[in-house]
Amino acid sequence: MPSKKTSHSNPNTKTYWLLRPVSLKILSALLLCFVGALIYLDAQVRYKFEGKRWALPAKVYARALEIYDGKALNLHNLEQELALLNYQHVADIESPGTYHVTGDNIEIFSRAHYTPNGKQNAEYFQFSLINDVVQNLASHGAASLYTLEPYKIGGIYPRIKEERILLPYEAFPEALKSTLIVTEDRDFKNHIGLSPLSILRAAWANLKAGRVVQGGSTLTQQLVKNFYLTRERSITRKVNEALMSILLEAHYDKQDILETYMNDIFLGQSGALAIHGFGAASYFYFGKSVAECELPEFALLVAMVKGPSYYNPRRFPERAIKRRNHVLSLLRDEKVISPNDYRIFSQSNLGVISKPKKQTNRFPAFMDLVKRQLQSDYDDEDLRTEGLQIYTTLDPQIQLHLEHSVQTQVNKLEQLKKSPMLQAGAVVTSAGTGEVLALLGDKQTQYNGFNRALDANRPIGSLIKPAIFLSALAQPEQYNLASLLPDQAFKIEFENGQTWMPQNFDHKEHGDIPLHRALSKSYNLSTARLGIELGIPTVHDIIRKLGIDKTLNPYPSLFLGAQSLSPFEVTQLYQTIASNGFNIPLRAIREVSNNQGETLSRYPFKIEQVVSPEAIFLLHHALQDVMRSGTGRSAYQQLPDALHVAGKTGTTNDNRDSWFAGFSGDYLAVFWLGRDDNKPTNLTGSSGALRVWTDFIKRIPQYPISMVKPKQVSYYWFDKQNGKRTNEQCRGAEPLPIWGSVDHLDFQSCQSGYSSISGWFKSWF
Amino acid sequence: MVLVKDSLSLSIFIVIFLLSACSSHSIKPAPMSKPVIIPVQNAPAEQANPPKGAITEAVKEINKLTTTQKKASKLELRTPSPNFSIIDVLIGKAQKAIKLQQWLRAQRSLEQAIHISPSQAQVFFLYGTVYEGLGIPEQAEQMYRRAIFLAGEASSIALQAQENLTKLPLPEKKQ
Repeated sequence: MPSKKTSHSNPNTKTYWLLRPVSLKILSALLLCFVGALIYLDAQVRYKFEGKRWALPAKVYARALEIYDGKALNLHNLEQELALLNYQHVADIESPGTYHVTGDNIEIFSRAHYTPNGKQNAEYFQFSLINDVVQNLASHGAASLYTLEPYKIGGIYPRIKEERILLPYEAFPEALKSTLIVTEDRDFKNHIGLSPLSILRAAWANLKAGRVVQGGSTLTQQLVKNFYLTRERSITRKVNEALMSILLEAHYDKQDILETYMNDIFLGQSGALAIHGFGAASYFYFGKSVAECELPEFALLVAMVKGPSYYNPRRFPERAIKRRNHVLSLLRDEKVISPNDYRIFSQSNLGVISKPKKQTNRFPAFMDLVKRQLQSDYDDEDLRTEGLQIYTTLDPQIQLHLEHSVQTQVNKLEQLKKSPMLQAGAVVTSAGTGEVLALLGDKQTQYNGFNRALDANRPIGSLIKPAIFLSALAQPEQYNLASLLPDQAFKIEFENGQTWMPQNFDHKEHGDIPLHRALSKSYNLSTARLGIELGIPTVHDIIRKLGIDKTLNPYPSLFLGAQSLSPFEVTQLYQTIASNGFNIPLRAIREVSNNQGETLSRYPFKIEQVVSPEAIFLLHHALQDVMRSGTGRSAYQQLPDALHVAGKTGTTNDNRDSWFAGFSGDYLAVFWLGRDDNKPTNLTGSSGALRVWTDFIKRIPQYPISMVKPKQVSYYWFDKQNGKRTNEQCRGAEPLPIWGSVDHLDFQSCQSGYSSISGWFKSWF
Repeated sequence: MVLVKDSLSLSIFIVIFLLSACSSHSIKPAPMSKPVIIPVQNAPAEQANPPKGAITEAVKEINKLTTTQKKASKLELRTPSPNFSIIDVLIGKAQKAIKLQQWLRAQRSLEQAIHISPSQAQVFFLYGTVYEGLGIPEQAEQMYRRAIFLAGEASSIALQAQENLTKLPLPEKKQ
């Protein structure tokens, strides 16, 4: 009888052992586990691949620069914008993304891009810039307007910041696909996710080299590793990678897998931002779209797949060239390119642009405003993951000028006026449309913190005065620009025993003065008296109409600007004045579209007439007086007289706040200067904020204020000193616009002589 | 009599001409009545004694300012007139879209025109019709009001806008 032990030594007994019930159970359990794992992995593969593959940040764009005959534009500003968009100045224009300047003549080959108005093709066009105006726009086509692609000013990112330009399979050039496949996975089109041949080939290459020089992973495996798994080096991960690769290939076609790979692959780092996919990488390294790249550039992009940091072409150009040329040699060996092409391409430069400045958030204060305006319509999660395209109103040229003016002028003021620790907030809008063109929340323009333009609530001083004078001018039977106001000291005693006794800035009284001069000279006594005469409710009413929707100071100190507002709120108030009495809510966004370019929401132009055109016309005249002969007159030392700017200075107690709000025909700009600790600054509105405003305004080509005189307004002559109607020829007579009849106004003949002999002579006839 | 009056005027003219040619500007002609001295505090010096010709210049400037916006361009500007032919193109596009009741398309063209030049009355007039088409009479009213303001009350655009305003189905007509 054979012993059981001997039976173990019999080879036949092995099969028998396997067939034993216990072993079968273990095997079945293992098989079950394997199948379970397979089902789990399959679910994982399908869930992520069919769902939202990536969290796509919202992309925020500036307005697109439009070029047409008559546009005010200077070469410096144009070149600045072209530099932002990474256009290259070349001798011969042959490809999109290039330009050439010869004297006044400019040639541009724009890039194809999408705007809310649809797809804009790449276009060659040329024009002249004569006296800072676009003229003689010409092109091969018949269009009379061309747009450059809008500059991307930032994104709204999830926690992990990834830059990715999602492209469909067809949008990746064939040459790039071939380069990638030849270099990374020659059998890609045939394998089932794994390629034993590639593994053997890599093993042989590594054996020959004595070190790891080649990997055996297929593109599918690389995608699985990057897309689903961690970078952990373990058998389990390797097994999972292999299984998931096979599952991925079983479910999806090669095209889908390659498209995902090309959008997902990590290709570099820009600060906190990881650059993923060839779409984003081509802009990051070459400043142009992947469709515009040439074969040597594809070779470099593919070269970096192996190690974007090690082969970083900006830091290690020699390594990058060596690796790129290796990729080119593979293309030559596979007969994708000829030996001659190889020789030419391998000798070419890398063509990498300097690292783009600050990719994530170039204009933090403006982005802050955009996010706040978006919050009312969109969830934070959607903004961070749905790949929304947000088209804003930011004008990069204006923004850069604003930053320059604030930085240089604030530094100068700190030294000249011995006023350290100055801070600034500023807002610039289009005077006619209420679009926010630029915004600044800190003198350190890149600082992404407390946004003074939106959040610094400070007393506005005399900036409130136009609202009070507007209240008066809206009552033409009682007030006109020549009405005399007593500029005399007074005091008000309150029931609680407190007294209010306003003073002029010069601590003097000025007697009876015409209304428009009280405003242009910013006299407090006459203004406060006028405010009291009008009543607090009337003044509150006009401030609300002008666009301020907050609780207002109920005391007479309101008339001298004790009311606190942010620069943004002040801008809203002055916007209504600048746009001729039409309230236009300030907008920073024009349109939002989804990742496919379909419009989700528009922010159309809306207006509401809140003040009569006649009263606004008179106020404009007075605000122009401020600049011609009042507290704002220093501006004309630098600005051309014909710009006819209008504005108002504002200073608060002990010079703690320096304000200026002013507008031309095209732009409204409001500046605040002060200290965060609210200590005195040694600056008035004139000596501080007005200087920055002037420096800013003088840099921008623009048109003057052009007022349409309402029918019921006519010009009459008034004596400058006593405000009585008089003759044109009289010495000291000034023309003032008057709303309605002047029959009730006193008339006097020339009391102080004639303005000239000819004037006297004319008075005879 | 006529001859005598003309001769008198001519003589006065010659005297004045000679006076002005031979004397400085500080010499005043005899006033018609005794001047009344009005005490003024803090009158700025440059305003109390305006330079010769300043008033005429001021009037010229005001006239330029208050006619139409096109005339403003004749002032000494760093940039010439905003004479944008592109506005006509955009207006044409908007008109076509309005005919086809493609309100969004029309709105886009008009907004583009407003960004280029926000003071074109016709653009606002058309925007009024777009808002009417979109069923937002409150905004249509405001656009017509803007058109009237920009065109001047007597213009044909303003009259048409005024007519459209009267037809708007507003809860309370303000016009």
